Amino acid sequence: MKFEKKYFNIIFISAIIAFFSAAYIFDFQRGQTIALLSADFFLEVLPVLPVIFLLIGLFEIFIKRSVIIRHLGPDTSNIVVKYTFAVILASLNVGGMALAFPVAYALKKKGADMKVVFTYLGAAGLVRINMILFEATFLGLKFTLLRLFTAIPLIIFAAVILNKYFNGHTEFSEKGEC
Amino acid sequence: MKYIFLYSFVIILYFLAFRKNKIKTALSIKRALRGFIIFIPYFIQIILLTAITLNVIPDKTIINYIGSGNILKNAFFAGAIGSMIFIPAFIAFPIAALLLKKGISYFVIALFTTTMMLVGIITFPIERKYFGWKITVYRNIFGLIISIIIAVIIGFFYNEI
Repeated sequence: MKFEKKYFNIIFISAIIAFFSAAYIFDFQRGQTIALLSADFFLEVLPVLPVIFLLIGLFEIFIKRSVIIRHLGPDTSNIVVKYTFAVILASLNVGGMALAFPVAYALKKKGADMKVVFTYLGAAGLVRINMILFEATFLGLKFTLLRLFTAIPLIIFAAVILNKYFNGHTEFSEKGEC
Repeated sequence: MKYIFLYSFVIILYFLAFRKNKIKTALSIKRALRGFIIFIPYFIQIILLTAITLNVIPDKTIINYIGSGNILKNAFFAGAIGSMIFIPAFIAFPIAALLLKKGISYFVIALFTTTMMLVGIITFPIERKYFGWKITVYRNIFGLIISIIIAVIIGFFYNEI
């Protein structure tokens, strides 16, 4: 099992490269379109990836756990601040929910309340700034605002319910907790 | 180019961090690298699946299933397809706008875009990696419920329900 996991990445990426090379060598049209499409998406998001992880790195090493627990922890004294923070942080997200997972995980690891983490995850899907601009352009301002104002309370509501099921949940503990 | 603010911001932060504590800054970079390396294979997986799905299921099919016939069928397929797919915004919204022009109700469109952004079967692997199976499943189920509620409320506001 351990052997498998360690080499998974290398095998996976080699397989991809092999497939795409084959697609070009054998002039396999579908394969080529898929390759180009993937490259397109990848390059669309790539500029942001290192930045996000660099910020997560700083966050994990420099920000003290006590600070996070005081402001974003399970204590119910500053509810408005907690949820506002989660939503604003989520709105700054670019490029899809996939990028939200590392950030949410970093927050959780530092001791943020699961309500905040779930709100962030939900909002990261629906309340992104660049997506809102897109939506307003294509589907109209009324639709966008309507969706926004119904989505945010529902996200928070679902986060509270999910929190009841999953309080204190710990998966995927890396070595070197801080 | 458009990310220049973001880059400058991070560079400034790291500069300040470096002055404050060199060792910790180095640790931050190391942590960033490790997170990045863990993340990338799953991310590539998602991108490939998305590209393959988009290629195998042409726009016409999507528009066919969601764009014609009775509203319940449209809604069902909108939700189903939206849940399974992870389309980037710049592709999803033109499709949605096209559906709108075809006269599809806002209710169906809201369901489609919301499930697409919030729920995702394609994002299961990476979510499972970071949060485990249970959270993944429950969060997505709740996401689906929320999407339906949002879509219903929007349909209500547009006098479609």
